[in-house]
Amino acid sequence: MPLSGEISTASPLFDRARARLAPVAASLIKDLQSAIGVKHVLHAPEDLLVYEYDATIERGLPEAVVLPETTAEVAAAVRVAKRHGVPVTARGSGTGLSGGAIPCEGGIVIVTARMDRILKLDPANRLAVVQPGVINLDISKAAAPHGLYYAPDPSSQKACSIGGNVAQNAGGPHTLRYGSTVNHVLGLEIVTPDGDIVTLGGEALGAPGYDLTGLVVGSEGTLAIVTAVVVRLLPQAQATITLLAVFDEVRQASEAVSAIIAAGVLPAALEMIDGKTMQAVEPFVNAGYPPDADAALLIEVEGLEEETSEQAEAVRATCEVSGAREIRIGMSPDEREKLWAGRKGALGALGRLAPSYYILDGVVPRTRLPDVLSGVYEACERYDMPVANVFHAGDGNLHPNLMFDDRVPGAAERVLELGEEIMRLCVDAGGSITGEHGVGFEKRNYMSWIFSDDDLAVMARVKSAFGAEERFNPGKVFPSSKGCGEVSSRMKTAIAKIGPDAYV
Amino acid sequence: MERRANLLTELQSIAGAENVRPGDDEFAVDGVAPQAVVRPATVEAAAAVVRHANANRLAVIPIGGKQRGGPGNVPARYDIGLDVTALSEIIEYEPGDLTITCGAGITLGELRKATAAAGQMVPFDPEIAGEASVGGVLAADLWGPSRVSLGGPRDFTIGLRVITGDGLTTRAGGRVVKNVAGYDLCKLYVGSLGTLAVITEATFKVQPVPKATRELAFTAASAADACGIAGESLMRGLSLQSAVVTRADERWRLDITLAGSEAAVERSAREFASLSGDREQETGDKIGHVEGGLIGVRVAAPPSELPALLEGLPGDAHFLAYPTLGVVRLRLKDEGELPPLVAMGAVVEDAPPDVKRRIDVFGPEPLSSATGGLMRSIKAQLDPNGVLSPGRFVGRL
Ligand SMILES: Cc1cc2nc3c(=O)[nH]c(=O)nc-3n(C[C@H](O)[C@H](O)[C@H](O)COP(=O)(O)OP(=O)(O)OC[C@H]3O[C@@H](n4cnc5c(N)ncnc54)[C@H](O)[C@@H]3O)c2cc1C
Repeated sequence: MPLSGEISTASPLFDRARARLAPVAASLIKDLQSAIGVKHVLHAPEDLLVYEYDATIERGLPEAVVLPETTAEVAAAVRVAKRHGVPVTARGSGTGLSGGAIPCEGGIVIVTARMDRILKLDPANRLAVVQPGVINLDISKAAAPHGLYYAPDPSSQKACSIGGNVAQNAGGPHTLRYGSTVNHVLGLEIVTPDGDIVTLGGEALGAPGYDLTGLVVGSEGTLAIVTAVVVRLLPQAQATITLLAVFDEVRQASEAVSAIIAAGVLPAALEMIDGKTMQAVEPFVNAGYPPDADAALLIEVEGLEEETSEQAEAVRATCEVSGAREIRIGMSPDEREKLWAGRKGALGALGRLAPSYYILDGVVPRTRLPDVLSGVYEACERYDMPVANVFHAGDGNLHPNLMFDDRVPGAAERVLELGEEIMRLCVDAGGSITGEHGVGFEKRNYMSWIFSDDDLAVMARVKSAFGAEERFNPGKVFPSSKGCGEVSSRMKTAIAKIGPDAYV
Repeated sequence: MERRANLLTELQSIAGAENVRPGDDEFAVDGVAPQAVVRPATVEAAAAVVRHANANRLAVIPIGGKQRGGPGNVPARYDIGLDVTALSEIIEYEPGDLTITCGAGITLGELRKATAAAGQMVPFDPEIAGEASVGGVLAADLWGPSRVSLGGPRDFTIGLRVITGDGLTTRAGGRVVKNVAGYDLCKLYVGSLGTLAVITEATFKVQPVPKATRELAFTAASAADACGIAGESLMRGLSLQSAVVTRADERWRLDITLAGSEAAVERSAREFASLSGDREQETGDKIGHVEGGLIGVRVAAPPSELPALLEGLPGDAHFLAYPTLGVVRLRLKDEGELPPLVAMGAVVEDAPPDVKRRIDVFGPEPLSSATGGLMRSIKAQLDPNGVLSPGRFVGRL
């Protein structure tokens, strides 16, 4: 089985690629070339291999990859696919953590990387219109001179595309206060499975009709390909205070999470870093984490100076009552950055502990956090699998990182098995199988744990209403017994692309 | 007559004799009264009623707080009024989770009371009447000036239980604040005016009630002036809960509500006062909604275009605008005032039945063909026989 890392052209993978590609009608490639230009259609096996994975464990090879520059080209490519009866999978930056961008059933991959223009920045109306390939952070950078920013901040924001964010309804540390992607998208331009270009929502509020914008956000590329996004921009906060509260026990920290909320404070971010993570991070980041503490909370409050200092004081007092042994407060950008350094450097540091890791994403009601976390540690111990927890505690959004060696036969499968068990814990606690990374391929068979057959049937009907059937991103979101290529681990490679401060 | 007698007995056998009665004007929608009204005691019974209607092609309209004359076209048909007010329990409320689940028949007033006890609130706009039912407010996607700070119903509705047109009882979303599993069908159901599904249960995100609120009002020189101060206070991050611009006797007025901690409200009030310079401070009651008239209309525009739109309104226009949202609500004295507004894309939010019968409240061409096509297919998928609130929605769906 191929490993993460480089792939040589001598790899048996290429034979597999060539074998798969043999039956592809040359006319499909020709039609795509005439639709969007020879240069932007890839079909040589060595070119395709880059597009068979995202940041997860599965892989699947497309027949062709196209890199359109305009909406019209996307529509043209979709129509070619329809004519040839092959599926289409959209792809942004490939940082997805649920196998969403993997062409499980082959076909065409439409990559939005060249659709990377900010079409309009309208500070007066606090919005921007952007192409799907624009990188999340670049929107905030462009808006910054106007005192505005784009609020959803997935930890991958230096690399992930807004199209991918829309497809996944991405969240981030600040979702607690500001909501996920869906709360910040005013309108979309999409291409339907028939190749029609349709505008949904728009720059003014309250267009009559069903909220198709809200429906398409989070539909993981199965209903439509997003070709432009109208995003809402927020004024930058006047003041921000960051606190780090260190606890001897995980349970104290997770109880403090609920206590803070109960005190009537809604922080902008409320993150937890467990002992394992702190031990891994400390040697590299020197964040000053005590080596013997079991957990820390990183809490950020935002608003007017008066409000933030009041809230910071309430948070401090609450953490103290919950048993925090030490509380550090960062007021200046430098001090705050230092407190965040450990959180942001976590993944990079964990990557040094094992050849591979696997990031899970589950949600539980906040008050169930203490019990579910104990359950996670217990399960990992049973599997003898090292785990580090670093996550969006305020939302009850867990991200256990399982550390393993993908060169050991069967290790990846065991990771998936343990992952499934942890997902069960979340569901049994009244939670969900994903808070921000999406269902994708990986979790499609867990959907029936939280939705009845009728619930899923209604979702499938909505998919039919878009004429989507299995034409856009087949094999995703809905339960199915079909496999998706092979299992390997690209997570580390993909995360490395984001840079040394990639974090979840 | 015979048909009606049958319908009553059929419904009685489904939902219990005590829960069925002949339809009357109390349950009329836009002047159309149903043949029968049923008030099921359980979600299962409600689903059975919908299945019966679906099998017999009878038109069903869900009824909650009986708020009259609101959004939507005159129903094309109306046989059964499905009164959901018996489904009004608080099903689960864990303040620490910041979520609450309740039956769709509960009134906003009761919901407000339940959450207030824990110092929390479901952020429905404070201006929405307490008698309105949760299901009705969601179906109509009602929101008000506080949307700028608290969001609209779609922003804080995280889960719904509904009955589709063919009688499936299904769930969308969940009970946790952050959840991206599957399509978020809540977005479709909220604002669908009962044309896709009957909402029977809802889960909301709740928020802490602000510790302090304060209302301020100023006279402004022009619409641009009033809207400008509101926009600037938003950019400065002041604790703005809502802002409303009105005009009376040639005088422009800006009403704002501040909400947050004591200190933040205090500071915001100070800064707001300096922002408004020597403009005269208004006294008297806060202006929250616009009343009177015959017809309620809403026009939306990007906020930067709102001042020009407002200045262009006739001198005697009776309106209220949300400057930071880019929306103006007008009350018209008669139908004759409609055409120029309709040309600007106005949506009629409420009107008496005889007016509604002559117009499409969503405008003459509410949907482009492509978007309309998608909406039509969604309607056909969720309500295949077209029995839910037929004719009320955009494009007469
Ligand atoms: C280190 C790291 C940290 C992360 N942190 C977070 C986090 O904090 N919060 C979070 O939510 N996620 C996080 N993620 C996951 C991931 O970054 C997000 O899901 C992101 O939204 C994916 O964007 P992308 O451009 O990489 O999409 P891709 O991986 O390329 O695609 C993701 C899905 O979107 C679809 N898609 C892409 N573009 C389009 C389009 N234009 N139209 C329709 N469908 C499209 C694809 O088909 C696929 O199903 C993290 C990932 C990594 C590696």
